[in-house]
Amino acid sequence: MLIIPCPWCGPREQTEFAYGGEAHIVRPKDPDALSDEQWGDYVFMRRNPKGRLLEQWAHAFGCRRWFNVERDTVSYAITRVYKPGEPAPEEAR
Amino acid sequence: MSERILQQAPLAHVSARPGAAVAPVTALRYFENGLRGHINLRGDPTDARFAAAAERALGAALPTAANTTRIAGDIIVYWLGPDEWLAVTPGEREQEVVNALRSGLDGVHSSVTPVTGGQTVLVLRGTHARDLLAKGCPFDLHSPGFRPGACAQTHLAKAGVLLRPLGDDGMEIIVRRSFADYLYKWLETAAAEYGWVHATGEAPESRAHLANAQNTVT
Repeated sequence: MLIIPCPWCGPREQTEFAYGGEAHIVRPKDPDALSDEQWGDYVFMRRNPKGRLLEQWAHAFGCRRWFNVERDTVSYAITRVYKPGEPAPEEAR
Repeated sequence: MSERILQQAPLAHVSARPGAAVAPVTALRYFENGLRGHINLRGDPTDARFAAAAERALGAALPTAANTTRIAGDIIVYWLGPDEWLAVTPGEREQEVVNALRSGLDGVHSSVTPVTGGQTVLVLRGTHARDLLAKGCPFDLHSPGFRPGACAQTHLAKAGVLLRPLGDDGMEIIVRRSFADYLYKWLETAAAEYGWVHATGEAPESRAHLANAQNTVT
């Protein structure tokens, strides 16, 4: 069980949250201009790193806000949370 | 001529049962504050026009600190999110408050949504109120900041709830109408070791003029 620090509500248990996958994936501005392979990359392909991952969580049973989490996929340690719209921490990209 | 509409609190069938005559001193007492007005308000609190109009309509500034409440006379305002609040009013004042919010917020990017029919207010009283909730709730009910003036949204026995502590021995639970009967049965069962008394009518601190569990409006 993870304790996830919501940027608004503070530390809460994982069962209050919903997972939203990798963060900072930008929808292409003009999907019609993409090849099938490029669109497939956007829809399906993820970094799946061993180590630090930037991901999205929603505080579904709390304030219902989405936010970003920097989490280590090996130790599961959460090292940072930040609000949507804030830039990704450089060193983790 | 308008028709008379029977309003019934979600747990009116429970409140109608006779209360226990003898109960242990540890027993938890339960009340339903049914038929309150529930109003969901959304908008940008940094927009001065929004904040001022909400304050005028509700009688107090919106609580902008996370997980706090503000009481303005007979209205309780709960923080639900950075741009979302819940105002709980006496049932008969709901329309007046909705109208005041809507006219004050005319032209301001915001939403005022009555959600009265969708949820109800339960009150638990007793020294074991927090122990009981801790059986099915992941939120730290004993955290130092969780005292009167605070509120928290979490889940209780898998039902989404909004909690407001009422001193050391009381808790207010706002729950969806569709979960109310389920949650009541869970609470009653989980309270077996302490004793359980369902009381009829309003919680004692409630104002006498507020609606009872069952009444009629025209």
